Amino acid sequence: MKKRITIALAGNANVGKSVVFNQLTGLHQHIGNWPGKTVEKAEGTLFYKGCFIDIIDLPGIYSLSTFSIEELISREYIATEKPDLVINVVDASILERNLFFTLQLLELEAPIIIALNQMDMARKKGISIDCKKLERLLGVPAIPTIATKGVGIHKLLEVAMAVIEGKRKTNPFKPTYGKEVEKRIKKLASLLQKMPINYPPRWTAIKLLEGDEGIKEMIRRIDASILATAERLLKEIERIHGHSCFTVIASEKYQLANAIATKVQKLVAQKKPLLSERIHDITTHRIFGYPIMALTLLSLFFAVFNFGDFFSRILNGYFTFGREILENIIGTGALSKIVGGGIFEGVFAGISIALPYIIPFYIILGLLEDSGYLTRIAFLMDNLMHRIGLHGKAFIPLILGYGCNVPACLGCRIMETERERVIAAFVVTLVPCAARTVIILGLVGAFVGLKWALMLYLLDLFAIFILGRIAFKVMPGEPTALIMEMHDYRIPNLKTVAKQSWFKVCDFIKIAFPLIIISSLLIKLIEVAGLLNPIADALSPITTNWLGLPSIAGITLIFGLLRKELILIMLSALFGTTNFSTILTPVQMLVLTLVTMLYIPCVATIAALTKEIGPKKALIITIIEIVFAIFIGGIAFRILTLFLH
Amino acid sequence: MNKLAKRLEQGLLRLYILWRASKQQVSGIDLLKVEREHEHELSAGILYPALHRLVKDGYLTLKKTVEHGKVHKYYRITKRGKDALEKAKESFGEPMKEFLREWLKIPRKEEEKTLSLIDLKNGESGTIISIKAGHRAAQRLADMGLTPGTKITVAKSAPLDGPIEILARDSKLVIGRGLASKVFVRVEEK
Repeated sequence: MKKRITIALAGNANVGKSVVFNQLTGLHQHIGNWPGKTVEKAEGTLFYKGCFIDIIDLPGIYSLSTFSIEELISREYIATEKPDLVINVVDASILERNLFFTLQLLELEAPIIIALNQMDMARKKGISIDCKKLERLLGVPAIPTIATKGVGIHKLLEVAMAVIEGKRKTNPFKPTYGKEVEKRIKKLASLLQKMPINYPPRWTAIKLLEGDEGIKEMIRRIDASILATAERLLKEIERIHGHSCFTVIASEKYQLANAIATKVQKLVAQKKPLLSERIHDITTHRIFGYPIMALTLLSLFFAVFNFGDFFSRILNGYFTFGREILENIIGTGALSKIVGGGIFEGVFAGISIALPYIIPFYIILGLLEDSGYLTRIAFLMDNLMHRIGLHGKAFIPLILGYGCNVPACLGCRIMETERERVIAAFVVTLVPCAARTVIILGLVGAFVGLKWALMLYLLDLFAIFILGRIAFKVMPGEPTALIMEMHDYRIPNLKTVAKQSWFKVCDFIKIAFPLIIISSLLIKLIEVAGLLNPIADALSPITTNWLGLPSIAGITLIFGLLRKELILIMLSALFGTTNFSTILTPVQMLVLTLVTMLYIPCVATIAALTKEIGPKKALIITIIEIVFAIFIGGIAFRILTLFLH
Repeated sequence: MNKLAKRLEQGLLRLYILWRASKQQVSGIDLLKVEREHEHELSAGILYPALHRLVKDGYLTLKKTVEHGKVHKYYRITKRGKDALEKAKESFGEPMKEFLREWLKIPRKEEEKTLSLIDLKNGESGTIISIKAGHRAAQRLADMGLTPGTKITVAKSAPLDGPIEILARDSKLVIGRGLASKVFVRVEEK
């Protein structure tokens, strides 16, 4: 018997996979990203009957084509890593659609058992399912579960082990198609028999007929002539049916899923309009839906920021205290400055600023997602978001950005595709967070005029609009139309959400803290080494000539990378006054604020970007924004000088 | 009559009898008479066994009345027969419609237009006829279960040209407006 086995969880989105995952792994889990991708990866371990079981939660997907990265990751994982078992988590209340995916797994010849989850939801909808019949039809075990209550999980594990150890035999169902299609599949499959590929020949043949780009590429490298045969057979099927081959195959698969579902489920009770349905109707109402959404988001927004604020203050107190102790120990010499100022300040910035906001944010976002409200928000806002080149779900990160960019960037993971995630993350960094608002109001608002402050906000919206659309056009990859499943409202599972939030925060800390500490250290080192002025002079072509700012502004902008508030703090510290009108002219104030508003937010945001879309893209966005900000700043300088002298 | 037609007739005969009986009670003679009018060769030797079989299976009941001294036998459809007829229509008749229409070249009636999803009103149902979207979009739609022949119901659409919420295969889907305009359905006649 093996000592270490791997089990993968696969299924549609929102079927309760992560709840099953959490039930199985408890606190022994780790949430990160698939290497080099923006897709979340949840892994965990459990020890059961003398065996280590590694559990991996694959992304929620509807098919195994090349439509999205999630699908590619999943099928590659199953075919290449060959997990000992795949537990297909199925939503018992939406059997047909879920079975479509089950059939895909069976076609991929993955070793599966089925967790028939959400049996309670099914019962509420009046659906009763004959599990034994399902087992007979599919040839694999089907265990009814209610993951949120832990029902059936133990049995699921038992059966999983029994299957892996060979104590329970399975006879997996092989989906077949109409004769004309089968004939051609078999022909292609026989050609592929001897190919050195990870995937089963029959599955590969079907994918070729479906026109799967990834598989075509793989086959092209081995034997391009097969592609020609596939193309020919594909066209024959299309001629017979009058629809694209892909449609024919998908259609027949769905018919199969439908046939199985009909045989296995019975509508027992009359369908009364459930409470969840009524809530759904109100929350998507043409007129009422919007104020409800505004109210909900506002209250959640305030919850996050009040909670964050509260804890931020408490932590602030601890850190000031801790700083004093540190100074008592190390003294106030250069070392103290570097260690204290660099590392300590860095950790302080991370913990007291970002963390108190991020933890409640993750929880609330998790609740929104799990309850199903997120899809309704996307439904209401999709149209508006389109104008910016985004989809409906981007509304939430965008709004969050007005408070703090860090959770907003992290929130971009809710977007449906990688391309959308990147565009959303980019646009979000342009949203003026609270820190930047402090500068806008504290500098421009107080010393130049409120009207000008408002103009800056409008200009920012304008920038978001334009840059969003540009990003939309320029980003590689195809823009996708919105196709989203809206599952029934349900009470979110707080335990799962809290647990997952915790692990996501841990993952963020792993990336953010090193970045923050290193940058703090660097800047402190520069300061202590007396390099501030030399650097200011080096930057003066940009700061003085192009932007028209005093040369010291260059340094403050660099410090602004750590925390935006530092810009004002530094200015007042360097000049010894908070009356900024003695330091800067109105034009200079406007230009400085403009650049601050548009150039990359703090290091914590860069860390968030790195976590969500990867270091390369984060770096590209950073550079683009810095260049853009400086460019606009210089132009603004020249235009404003004409108007304001 | 060739073998294929004979086979078909055997299967369709029971269906036909039930359909007739669902409209009003029929006698064996009624059925034979009408068939002869249509110049269709239906012999008693085939009809009566079919009728008896239907009675035995519980789809028809036999009623004997005495009129003017003569015994008349009438066949009436039972609830079970009605259910069976309805079920056959759903699982067999509806899918056959397109095929029969094409095969027999039955012209489409006026009310059956092909509309795109965005033209449907809230609550209207239809069957998908064709999807005129790009390859990727069509694939994605197919993956989500929206293929020709699928029955869908439009629930509502978001204001200001927003996406559309539809019910298909027992679950709710949201489709962007642009994409929805490329999905063509045939609306169900009431």
